[in-house]
Amino acid sequence: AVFTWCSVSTADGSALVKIGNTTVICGIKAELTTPPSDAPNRGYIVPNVDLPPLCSSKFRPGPPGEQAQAASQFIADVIESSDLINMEELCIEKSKLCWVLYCDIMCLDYDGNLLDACIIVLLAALKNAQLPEVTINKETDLAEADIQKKKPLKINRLPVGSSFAVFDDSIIIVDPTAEEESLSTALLTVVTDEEDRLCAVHKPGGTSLSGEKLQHCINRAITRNKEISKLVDKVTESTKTAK
Amino acid sequence: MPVDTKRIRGPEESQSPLLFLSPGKVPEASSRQGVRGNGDARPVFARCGLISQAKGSAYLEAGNTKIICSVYGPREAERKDETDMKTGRLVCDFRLAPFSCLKRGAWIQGSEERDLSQTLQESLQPGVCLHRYPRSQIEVNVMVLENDGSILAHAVTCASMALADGGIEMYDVVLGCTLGQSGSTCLVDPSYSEEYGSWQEGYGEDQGCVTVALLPNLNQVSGLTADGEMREDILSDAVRSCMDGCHKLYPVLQQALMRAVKKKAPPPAK
Repeated sequence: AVFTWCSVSTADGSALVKIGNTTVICGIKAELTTPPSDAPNRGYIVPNVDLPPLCSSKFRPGPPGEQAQAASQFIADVIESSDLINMEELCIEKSKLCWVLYCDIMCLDYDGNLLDACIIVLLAALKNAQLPEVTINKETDLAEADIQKKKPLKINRLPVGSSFAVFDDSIIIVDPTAEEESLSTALLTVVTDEEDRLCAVHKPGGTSLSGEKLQHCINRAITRNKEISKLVDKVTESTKTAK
Repeated sequence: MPVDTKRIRGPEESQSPLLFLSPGKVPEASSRQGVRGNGDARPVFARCGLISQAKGSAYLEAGNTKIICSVYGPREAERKDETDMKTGRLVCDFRLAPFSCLKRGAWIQGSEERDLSQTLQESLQPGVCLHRYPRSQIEVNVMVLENDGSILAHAVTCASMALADGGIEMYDVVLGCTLGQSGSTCLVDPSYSEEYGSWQEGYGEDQGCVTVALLPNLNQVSGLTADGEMREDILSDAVRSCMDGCHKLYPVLQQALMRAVKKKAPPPAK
Protein backbone atom coordinates (compact mmCIF):
# COMPACT_ATOMS: atom_id res chain seq x y z
CA ALA A 1 0.00 0.00 0.00
CA VAL A 2 1.23 3.45 -0.85
CA PHE A 3 -0.36 6.63 0.26
CA THR A 4 0.20 10.32 0.05
CA TRP A 5 -1.45 13.39 1.41
CA CYS A 6 -2.18 15.07 -1.83
CA SER A 7 -2.51 18.78 -1.78
CA VAL A 8 -5.96 19.46 -3.16
CA SER A 9 -6.00 22.99 -1.87
CA THR A 10 -9.72 23.51 -2.38
CA ALA A 11 -10.55 20.66 0.02
CA ASP A 12 -10.09 20.94 3.77
CA GLY A 13 -8.32 17.58 3.90
CA SER A 14 -7.36 15.11 1.23
CA ALA A 15 -5.43 11.91 0.64
CA LEU A 16 -4.66 9.46 -2.13
CA VAL A 17 -4.09 5.74 -1.55
CA LYS A 18 -2.84 3.14 -3.99
CA ILE A 19 -3.10 -0.56 -3.08
CA GLY A 20 -1.57 -2.41 -6.01
CA ASN A 21 -3.44 -0.86 -8.93
CA THR A 22 -6.50 0.24 -7.01
CA THR A 23 -6.32 4.01 -6.58
CA VAL A 24 -8.72 5.91 -4.33
CA ILE A 25 -8.81 9.61 -3.50
CA CYS A 26 -10.73 11.28 -0.70
CA GLY A 27 -11.54 14.93 -0.30
CA ILE A 28 -13.10 16.38 2.84
CA LYS A 29 -15.13 19.53 2.72
CA ALA A 30 -16.37 21.02 5.94
CA GLU A 31 -19.54 23.05 6.01
CA LEU A 32 -21.66 24.60 8.70
CA THR A 33 -25.19 23.70 9.65
CA THR A 34 -27.53 23.41 12.61
CA PRO A 35 -27.17 20.23 14.67
CA PRO A 36 -29.90 17.56 14.45
CA SER A 37 -32.79 18.07 16.82
CA ASP A 38 -32.37 14.68 18.46
CA ALA A 39 -28.66 15.20 19.19
CA PRO A 40 -28.04 18.92 19.60
CA ASN A 41 -24.43 18.59 20.62
CA ARG A 42 -23.20 16.43 17.79
CA GLY A 43 -22.02 17.18 14.27
CA TYR A 44 -22.38 15.15 11.10
CA ILE A 45 -19.98 13.06 9.06
CA VAL A 46 -21.32 12.16 5.64
CA PRO A 47 -19.20 9.65 3.75
CA ASN A 48 -19.93 8.88 0.14
CA VAL A 49 -18.16 6.47 -2.13
CA ASP A 50 -18.32 7.05 -5.85
CA LEU A 51 -17.26 4.67 -8.57
CA PRO A 52 -17.18 6.83 -11.68
CA PRO A 53 -16.99 5.25 -15.15
CA LEU A 54 -13.42 6.58 -15.18
CA CYS A 55 -12.18 3.81 -12.92
CA SER A 56 -13.27 0.73 -14.76
CA SER A 57 -15.26 -0.34 -17.77
CA LYS A 58 -17.70 -2.09 -15.45
CA PHE A 59 -19.27 1.14 -14.25
CA ARG A 60 -21.68 3.24 -16.26
CA PRO A 61 -22.31 6.96 -15.78
CA GLY A 62 -25.41 7.89 -13.84
CA PRO A 63 -26.65 7.31 -10.28
CA PRO A 64 -24.42 5.20 -8.03
CA GLY A 65 -24.78 1.48 -8.50
CA GLU A 66 -25.19 -1.22 -5.89
CA GLN A 67 -21.52 -1.56 -5.14
CA ALA A 68 -21.04 2.15 -4.54
CA GLN A 69 -24.08 2.36 -2.27
CA ALA A 70 -23.01 -0.72 -0.30
CA ALA A 71 -19.52 0.73 0.11
CA SER A 72 -20.90 4.09 1.31
CA GLN A 73 -23.11 2.41 3.86
CA PHE A 74 -20.23 0.23 5.05
CA ILE A 75 -17.96 3.23 5.57
CA ALA A 76 -20.74 5.02 7.48
CA ASP A 77 -21.14 1.96 9.73
CA VAL A 78 -17.40 1.74 10.37
CA ILE A 79 -17.28 5.41 11.37
CA GLU A 80 -20.21 4.93 13.73
CA SER A 81 -19.04 1.72 15.31
CA SER A 82 -15.37 2.52 15.67
CA ASP A 83 -15.97 5.95 17.23
CA LEU A 84 -13.38 7.39 14.88
CA ILE A 85 -14.12 10.99 15.71
CA ASN A 86 -15.83 12.33 18.73
CA MET A 87 -19.02 13.78 17.27
CA GLU A 88 -19.30 16.22 20.14
CA GLU A 89 -16.12 17.88 18.95
CA LEU A 90 -17.79 18.79 15.70
CA CYS A 91 -20.33 20.87 17.53
CA ILE A 92 -19.49 24.55 17.81
CA GLU A 93 -22.48 25.81 19.72
CA LYS A 94 -25.12 23.50 21.10
CA SER A 95 -28.32 23.47 19.03
CA LYS A 96 -27.09 26.32 16.90
CA LEU A 97 -24.06 25.48 14.86
CA CYS A 98 -22.03 22.43 14.05
CA TRP A 99 -19.69 21.12 11.41
CA VAL A 100 -20.73 18.69 8.78
CA LEU A 101 -17.82 16.84 7.20
CA TYR A 102 -18.56 15.67 3.69
CA CYS A 103 -16.09 12.90 2.96
CA ASP A 104 -16.20 12.25 -0.75
CA ILE A 105 -14.31 9.13 -1.67
CA MET A 106 -13.70 8.63 -5.33
CA CYS A 107 -12.15 5.62 -6.96
CA LEU A 108 -9.75 6.48 -9.80
CA ASP A 109 -8.73 2.95 -10.73
CA TYR A 110 -10.65 -0.14 -9.67
CA ASP A 111 -8.61 -3.32 -9.31
CA GLY A 112 -10.37 -5.03 -6.41
CA ASN A 113 -10.20 -4.51 -2.65
CA LEU A 114 -12.12 -1.28 -2.66
CA LEU A 115 -13.22 -1.29 1.00
CA ASP A 116 -9.71 -1.48 2.48
CA ALA A 117 -8.53 1.39 0.35
CA CYS A 118 -11.59 3.49 1.26
CA ILE A 119 -11.04 3.07 4.98
CA ILE A 120 -7.35 3.92 4.76
CA VAL A 121 -7.92 6.96 2.57
CA LEU A 122 -10.67 8.25 4.85
CA LEU A 123 -8.40 7.90 7.86
CA ALA A 124 -5.54 9.65 6.10
CA ALA A 125 -7.73 12.49 4.86
CA LEU A 126 -9.23 13.06 8.31
CA LYS A 127 -5.76 13.19 9.84
CA ASN A 128 -4.79 15.75 7.25
CA ALA A 129 -7.92 17.85 7.61
CA GLN A 130 -7.67 21.36 8.98
CA LEU A 131 -10.84 23.15 9.96
CA PRO A 132 -11.02 26.93 10.25
CA GLU A 133 -11.91 28.35 13.59
CA VAL A 134 -15.50 29.42 13.83
CA THR A 135 -16.99 31.46 16.64
CA ILE A 136 -20.44 32.88 17.09
CA ASN A 137 -20.55 36.61 17.35
CA LYS A 138 -22.60 37.40 20.46
CA GLU A 139 -24.14 40.56 19.07
CA THR A 140 -25.20 39.52 15.61
CA ASP A 141 -25.75 35.85 16.49
CA LEU A 142 -24.06 34.89 13.24
CA ALA A 143 -21.08 32.67 12.72
CA GLU A 144 -17.71 34.13 11.92
CA ALA A 145 -15.04 32.04 10.29
CA ASP A 146 -11.36 32.72 10.37
CA ILE A 147 -9.62 30.78 7.68
CA GLN A 148 -6.16 31.94 8.63
CA LYS A 149 -6.34 30.00 11.88
CA LYS A 150 -6.78 26.32 11.34
CA LYS A 151 -6.98 23.40 13.72
CA PRO A 152 -6.54 19.74 12.87
CA LEU A 153 -9.16 17.16 13.85
CA LYS A 154 -8.65 14.79 16.74
CA ILE A 155 -8.81 11.15 15.67
CA ASN A 156 -9.66 8.68 18.42
CA ARG A 157 -9.17 5.36 16.77
CA LEU A 158 -7.37 3.99 13.75
CA PRO A 159 -9.62 1.41 12.14
CA VAL A 160 -8.00 -0.53 9.32
CA GLY A 161 -9.71 -3.11 7.19
CA SER A 162 -8.43 -6.27 5.55
CA SER A 163 -10.31 -7.91 2.74
CA PHE A 164 -10.23 -11.56 1.85
CA ALA A 165 -11.60 -13.60 -1.01
CA VAL A 166 -12.88 -17.08 -0.19
CA PHE A 167 -12.86 -19.95 -2.63
CA ASP A 168 -15.09 -22.92 -1.85
CA ASP A 169 -14.77 -22.71 1.92
CA SER A 170 -11.13 -23.80 1.86
CA ILE A 171 -8.78 -21.34 0.23
CA ILE A 172 -8.62 -17.78 1.48
CA ILE A 173 -6.54 -15.12 -0.22
CA VAL A 174 -5.77 -11.71 1.14
CA ASP A 175 -6.16 -8.47 -0.81
CA PRO A 176 -7.88 -9.80 -3.93
CA THR A 177 -7.57 -8.07 -7.29
CA ALA A 178 -10.63 -7.49 -9.44
CA GLU A 179 -10.05 -10.72 -11.33
CA GLU A 180 -9.74 -12.73 -8.12
CA GLU A 181 -12.84 -11.05 -6.69
CA SER A 182 -14.94 -11.96 -9.68
CA LEU A 183 -13.90 -15.61 -9.46
CA SER A 184 -14.29 -15.94 -5.71
CA THR A 185 -17.29 -17.54 -4.05
CA ALA A 186 -17.40 -15.14 -1.10
CA LEU A 187 -15.81 -11.91 0.07
CA LEU A 188 -15.01 -10.93 3.62
CA THR A 189 -13.79 -7.70 5.16
CA VAL A 190 -12.61 -7.44 8.76
CA VAL A 191 -12.00 -4.05 10.38
CA THR A 192 -9.91 -3.82 13.54
CA ASP A 193 -8.62 -0.84 15.44
CA GLU A 194 -5.21 -0.16 16.90
CA GLU A 195 -6.03 -1.75 20.25
CA ASP A 196 -6.64 -5.10 18.53
CA ARG A 197 -10.37 -4.80 18.99
CA LEU A 198 -12.82 -5.81 16.34
CA CYS A 199 -14.82 -2.93 14.83
CA ALA A 200 -16.70 -4.52 11.97
CA VAL A 201 -17.00 -7.69 9.96
CA HIS A 202 -18.63 -7.51 6.56
CA LYS A 203 -19.51 -10.68 4.76
CA PRO A 204 -22.27 -10.14 2.22
CA GLY A 205 -23.56 -13.61 1.44
CA GLY A 206 -21.48 -16.12 -0.47
CA THR A 207 -20.33 -19.56 0.70
CA SER A 208 -20.07 -20.26 4.41
CA LEU A 209 -16.85 -20.05 6.35
CA SER A 210 -15.86 -22.09 9.39
CA GLY A 211 -15.31 -20.32 12.72
CA GLU A 212 -11.66 -21.28 12.82
CA LYS A 213 -10.99 -19.78 9.38
CA LEU A 214 -12.73 -16.61 10.51
CA GLN A 215 -10.46 -16.39 13.56
CA HIS A 216 -7.49 -16.80 11.24
CA CYS A 217 -8.70 -13.88 9.15
CA ILE A 218 -9.17 -11.70 12.22
CA ASN A 219 -5.60 -12.42 13.30
CA ARG A 220 -4.33 -11.49 9.88
CA ALA A 221 -6.36 -8.28 10.04
CA ILE A 222 -4.68 -7.36 13.34
CA THR A 223 -1.23 -7.76 11.76
CA ARG A 224 -2.32 -5.62 8.83
CA ASN A 225 -3.52 -2.93 11.21
CA LYS A 226 -0.06 -2.68 12.72
CA GLU A 227 1.56 -2.44 9.27
CA ILE A 228 -0.79 0.32 8.14
CA SER A 229 -0.48 2.36 11.34
CA LYS A 230 3.29 2.24 11.00
CA LEU A 231 2.91 3.52 7.43
CA VAL A 232 0.62 6.32 8.53
CA ASP A 233 3.04 7.34 11.27
CA LYS A 234 5.95 7.29 8.84
CA VAL A 235 4.13 9.58 6.42
CA THR A 236 3.07 11.92 9.25
CA GLU A 237 6.70 12.17 10.37
CA SER A 238 8.03 12.81 6.92
CA THR A 239 5.52 15.57 6.19
CA LYS A 240 6.27 17.21 9.54
CA THR A 241 10.01 17.25 8.87
CA ALA A 242 9.37 18.51 5.34
CA LYS A 243 7.43 21.46 6.77
CA MET B 1 -32.56 19.76 -6.59
CA PRO B 2 -34.02 16.25 -6.58
CA VAL B 3 -33.47 14.30 -3.40
CA ASP B 4 -30.62 11.86 -3.88
CA THR B 5 -31.92 8.69 -2.29
CA LYS B 6 -28.99 6.59 -3.35
CA ARG B 7 -26.35 8.34 -1.33
CA ILE B 8 -25.94 8.81 2.38
CA ARG B 9 -27.60 12.05 3.23
CA GLY B 10 -26.37 14.65 5.59
CA PRO B 11 -28.38 17.56 6.90
CA GLU B 12 -30.91 19.26 4.68
CA GLU B 13 -28.90 22.38 4.19
CA SER B 14 -25.41 23.43 4.94
CA GLN B 15 -23.29 26.43 4.16
CA SER B 16 -19.64 26.74 3.46
CA PRO B 17 -17.64 28.60 6.12
CA LEU B 18 -16.41 30.92 3.37
CA LEU B 19 -19.75 32.70 3.49
CA PHE B 20 -19.10 33.66 7.06
CA LEU B 21 -15.72 35.23 6.75
CA SER B 22 -15.29 37.98 9.31
CA PRO B 23 -14.78 41.21 7.36
CA GLY B 24 -11.25 42.00 8.40
CA LYS B 25 -9.90 38.64 7.45
CA VAL B 26 -10.81 38.11 3.79
CA PRO B 27 -7.75 36.66 2.06
CA GLU B 28 -6.09 38.81 -0.59
CA ALA B 29 -6.32 37.60 -4.15
CA SER B 30 -2.86 36.61 -5.29
CA SER B 31 -1.52 38.61 -8.17
CA ARG B 32 0.66 37.41 -10.97
CA GLN B 33 3.45 39.89 -10.32
CA GLY B 34 6.85 38.34 -10.54
CA VAL B 35 5.67 34.79 -11.00
CA ARG B 36 4.53 34.83 -14.58
CA GLY B 37 3.70 37.42 -17.22
CA ASN B 38 0.28 38.16 -18.64
CA GLY B 39 1.00 36.14 -21.76
CA ASP B 40 2.54 33.10 -20.08
CA ALA B 41 0.66 29.92 -19.40
CA ARG B 42 1.39 27.94 -16.26
CA PRO B 43 3.96 25.15 -16.49
CA VAL B 44 2.25 21.86 -17.18
CA PHE B 45 2.99 18.39 -15.77
CA ALA B 46 1.62 15.62 -17.95
CA ARG B 47 1.80 11.86 -17.60
CA CYS B 48 0.11 9.06 -19.51
CA GLY B 49 -0.85 5.56 -18.60
CA LEU B 50 -1.87 5.95 -14.96
CA ILE B 51 -5.14 4.03 -14.87
CA SER B 52 -4.48 0.32 -15.30
CA GLN B 53 -8.06 -0.55 -16.18
CA ALA B 54 -8.45 1.96 -18.98
CA LYS B 55 -7.34 1.61 -22.58
CA GLY B 56 -5.65 4.99 -22.38
CA SER B 57 -5.33 7.51 -19.60
CA ALA B 58 -3.63 10.79 -18.84
CA TYR B 59 -3.09 13.12 -15.91
CA LEU B 60 -2.45 16.81 -16.27
CA GLU B 61 -1.44 19.41 -13.69
CA ALA B 62 -1.23 23.09 -14.54
CA GLY B 63 -0.54 25.16 -11.46
CA ASN B 64 -3.12 23.82 -9.03
CA THR B 65 -5.59 22.58 -11.62
CA LYS B 66 -5.50 18.77 -11.59
CA ILE B 67 -7.32 16.79 -14.24
CA ILE B 68 -7.36 13.06 -14.90
CA CYS B 69 -8.85 11.43 -17.97
CA SER B 70 -9.48 7.87 -19.10
CA VAL B 71 -10.48 6.46 -22.45
CA TYR B 72 -12.38 3.23 -23.01
CA GLY B 73 -13.11 1.75 -26.36
CA PRO B 74 -13.78 1.22 -29.10
CA ARG B 75 -16.86 -0.57 -27.81
CA GLU B 76 -20.02 -1.73 -29.40
CA ALA B 77 -22.35 1.23 -29.75
CA GLU B 78 -25.24 1.10 -27.32
CA ARG B 79 -27.91 2.40 -29.64
CA LYS B 80 -28.71 0.32 -32.63
CA ASP B 81 -31.14 2.71 -34.21
CA GLU B 82 -28.49 5.00 -35.63
CA THR B 83 -29.08 5.58 -39.29
CA ASP B 84 -25.49 6.46 -39.99
CA MET B 85 -23.46 3.52 -38.78
CA LYS B 86 -20.49 4.16 -41.01
CA THR B 87 -18.65 6.24 -38.43
CA GLY B 88 -18.10 5.75 -34.76
CA ARG B 89 -19.29 7.94 -31.93
CA LEU B 90 -17.36 9.83 -29.33
CA VAL B 91 -19.05 9.97 -25.93
CA CYS B 92 -17.61 12.43 -23.42
CA ASP B 93 -18.32 12.65 -19.73
CA PHE B 94 -16.97 15.65 -17.89
CA ARG B 95 -17.12 15.58 -14.10
CA LEU B 96 -16.07 17.88 -11.35
CA ALA B 97 -15.25 16.14 -8.09
CA PRO B 98 -17.29 17.62 -5.21
CA PHE B 99 -14.12 18.71 -3.41
CA SER B 100 -12.64 20.36 -6.47
CA CYS B 101 -14.12 23.82 -6.09
CA LEU B 102 -14.14 26.19 -3.14
CA LYS B 103 -17.85 25.66 -2.73
CA ARG B 104 -18.75 22.00 -2.52
CA GLY B 105 -20.37 20.69 -5.68
CA ALA B 106 -23.24 18.27 -5.77
CA TRP B 107 -22.84 14.67 -6.88
CA ILE B 108 -25.61 14.85 -9.41
CA GLN B 109 -24.37 16.24 -12.67
CA GLY B 110 -25.58 19.79 -13.09
CA SER B 111 -26.25 21.67 -16.29
CA GLU B 112 -22.77 23.22 -16.32
CA GLU B 113 -21.12 19.82 -16.40
CA ARG B 114 -23.38 18.72 -19.23
CA ASP B 115 -22.51 21.87 -21.13
CA LEU B 116 -18.80 21.26 -20.64
CA SER B 117 -19.18 17.63 -21.75
CA GLN B 118 -20.87 18.75 -24.94
CA THR B 119 -18.19 21.35 -25.67
CA LEU B 120 -15.47 18.81 -24.99
CA GLN B 121 -17.03 16.38 -27.40
CA GLU B 122 -17.37 19.00 -30.12
CA SER B 123 -13.73 20.00 -29.70
CA LEU B 124 -12.34 16.47 -29.76
CA GLN B 125 -14.44 15.11 -32.59
CA PRO B 126 -12.57 16.72 -35.51
CA GLY B 127 -9.31 15.27 -34.23
CA VAL B 128 -10.34 11.61 -34.05
CA CYS B 129 -10.58 9.38 -37.14
CA LEU B 130 -14.06 8.16 -36.34
CA HIS B 131 -14.58 6.68 -39.78
CA ARG B 132 -12.07 3.99 -38.80
CA TYR B 133 -14.37 2.74 -36.03
CA PRO B 134 -17.76 2.10 -37.61
CA ARG B 135 -20.58 1.03 -35.34
CA SER B 136 -18.52 1.61 -32.22
CA GLN B 137 -18.24 4.21 -29.56
CA ILE B 138 -15.24 5.59 -27.79
CA GLU B 139 -15.79 6.81 -24.26
CA VAL B 140 -13.80 9.64 -22.81
CA ASN B 141 -14.22 10.28 -19.08
CA VAL B 142 -12.70 13.41 -17.60
CA MET B 143 -12.56 14.09 -13.88
CA VAL B 144 -11.41 17.39 -12.44
CA LEU B 145 -9.77 16.80 -9.07
CA GLU B 146 -9.01 20.43 -8.33
CA ASN B 147 -10.38 23.46 -10.13
CA ASP B 148 -7.92 26.33 -10.32
CA GLY B 149 -9.08 27.90 -13.56
CA SER B 150 -9.24 27.08 -17.27
CA ILE B 151 -10.51 23.54 -16.74
CA LEU B 152 -12.09 23.19 -20.16
CA ALA B 153 -8.87 23.95 -22.01
CA HIS B 154 -6.77 21.61 -19.88
CA ALA B 155 -9.45 18.93 -20.09
CA VAL B 156 -9.30 19.06 -23.88
CA THR B 157 -5.52 18.65 -23.78
CA CYS B 158 -5.71 15.85 -21.21
CA ALA B 159 -8.41 14.02 -23.17
CA SER B 160 -6.43 14.07 -26.40
CA MET B 161 -3.35 12.77 -24.56
CA ALA B 162 -5.46 9.93 -23.19
CA LEU B 163 -6.86 9.18 -26.64
CA ALA B 164 -3.34 9.05 -28.05
CA ASP B 165 -2.18 6.86 -25.16
CA GLY B 166 -5.05 4.49 -25.85
CA GLY B 167 -4.01 4.04 -29.42
CA ILE B 168 -7.11 5.65 -30.93
CA GLU B 169 -6.37 6.87 -34.42
CA MET B 170 -6.30 10.64 -34.65
CA TYR B 171 -5.52 13.25 -37.26
CA ASP B 172 -3.83 15.40 -34.65
CA VAL B 173 -3.90 16.05 -30.92
CA VAL B 174 -6.27 18.77 -29.79
CA LEU B 175 -4.83 21.38 -27.45
CA GLY B 176 -6.75 23.89 -25.43
CA CYS B 177 -5.93 27.33 -24.13
CA THR B 178 -7.93 29.93 -22.25
CA LEU B 179 -7.65 33.66 -22.05
CA GLY B 180 -9.44 35.83 -19.54
CA GLN B 181 -9.98 39.52 -20.01
CA SER B 182 -10.68 41.90 -17.19
CA GLY B 183 -10.80 45.56 -18.09
CA SER B 184 -7.66 46.18 -20.11
CA THR B 185 -5.55 43.23 -18.96
CA CYS B 186 -5.63 39.96 -20.86
CA LEU B 187 -4.35 36.97 -18.94
CA VAL B 188 -3.46 33.70 -20.62
CA ASP B 189 -4.34 30.58 -18.62
CA PRO B 190 -6.16 32.33 -15.78
CA SER B 191 -6.38 30.75 -12.36
CA TYR B 192 -9.68 30.47 -10.53
CA SER B 193 -9.44 33.84 -8.82
CA GLU B 194 -8.38 35.51 -12.07
CA GLU B 195 -11.35 34.01 -13.83
CA TYR B 196 -13.63 36.09 -11.66
CA GLY B 197 -16.60 36.86 -13.78
CA SER B 198 -16.59 33.38 -15.32
CA TRP B 199 -19.75 31.61 -16.35
CA GLN B 200 -20.46 30.79 -12.73
CA GLU B 201 -20.74 34.31 -11.45
CA GLY B 202 -21.81 36.60 -14.23
CA TYR B 203 -19.84 39.27 -16.06
CA GLY B 204 -19.30 42.95 -15.66
CA GLU B 205 -18.55 45.30 -18.51
CA ASP B 206 -15.49 44.61 -20.63
CA GLN B 207 -14.90 41.27 -18.98
CA GLY B 208 -14.81 37.97 -20.72
CA CYS B 209 -13.21 34.62 -21.18
CA VAL B 210 -12.27 32.79 -24.38
CA THR B 211 -11.33 29.13 -24.71
CA VAL B 212 -9.83 27.85 -27.96
CA ALA B 213 -9.24 24.22 -28.96
CA LEU B 214 -6.63 23.91 -31.68
CA LEU B 215 -5.14 21.16 -33.84
CA PRO B 216 -1.54 22.41 -33.95
CA ASN B 217 -0.14 20.60 -36.98
CA LEU B 218 -3.12 21.33 -39.15
CA ASN B 219 -3.49 24.78 -37.55
CA GLN B 220 -7.23 24.40 -37.38
CA VAL B 221 -9.51 25.53 -34.59
CA SER B 222 -11.89 22.81 -33.53
CA GLY B 223 -13.61 24.55 -30.65
CA LEU B 224 -14.16 28.12 -29.61
CA THR B 225 -16.10 29.23 -26.55
CA ALA B 226 -16.40 32.84 -25.56
CA ASP B 227 -18.30 34.28 -22.62
CA GLY B 228 -18.88 37.79 -21.51
CA GLU B 229 -18.68 41.12 -23.24
CA MET B 230 -15.60 41.74 -25.31
CA ARG B 231 -14.95 44.12 -28.15
CA GLU B 232 -14.41 42.63 -31.57
CA ASP B 233 -10.74 43.54 -31.93
CA ILE B 234 -9.93 42.32 -28.45
CA LEU B 235 -11.72 39.07 -29.22
CA SER B 236 -9.71 38.40 -32.36
CA ASP B 237 -6.46 39.24 -30.54
CA ALA B 238 -7.52 36.91 -27.75
CA VAL B 239 -8.08 34.04 -30.17
CA ARG B 240 -4.66 34.63 -31.69
CA SER B 241 -3.00 34.64 -28.25
CA CYS B 242 -4.77 31.40 -27.38
CA MET B 243 -3.51 29.80 -30.57
CA ASP B 244 0.05 30.87 -29.67
CA GLY B 245 -0.44 29.42 -26.22
CA CYS B 246 -1.47 26.11 -27.75
CA HIS B 247 1.60 26.00 -29.97
CA LYS B 248 3.81 26.60 -26.94
CA LEU B 249 2.13 23.73 -25.13
CA TYR B 250 2.64 21.24 -27.94
CA PRO B 251 6.27 20.19 -27.17
CA VAL B 252 5.32 19.31 -23.58
CA LEU B 253 2.62 17.01 -24.87
CA GLN B 254 4.94 15.41 -27.38
CA GLN B 255 7.47 14.65 -24.66
CA ALA B 256 4.86 13.10 -22.39
CA LEU B 257 3.51 10.90 -25.16
CA MET B 258 6.97 9.77 -26.27
CA ARG B 259 7.79 8.86 -22.70
CA ALA B 260 4.63 6.81 -22.43
CA VAL B 261 5.29 5.01 -25.69
CA LYS B 262 8.88 4.24 -24.66
CA LYS B 263 7.65 2.80 -21.41
CA LYS B 264 5.10 0.56 -23.10
CA ALA B 265 7.38 -0.58 -25.90
CA PRO B 266 10.98 -0.09 -24.84
CA PRO B 267 13.45 0.25 -27.70
CA PRO B 268 15.39 -2.98 -28.33
CA ALA B 269 18.68 -3.21 -26.43
CA LYS B 270 21.62 -3.06 -28.79
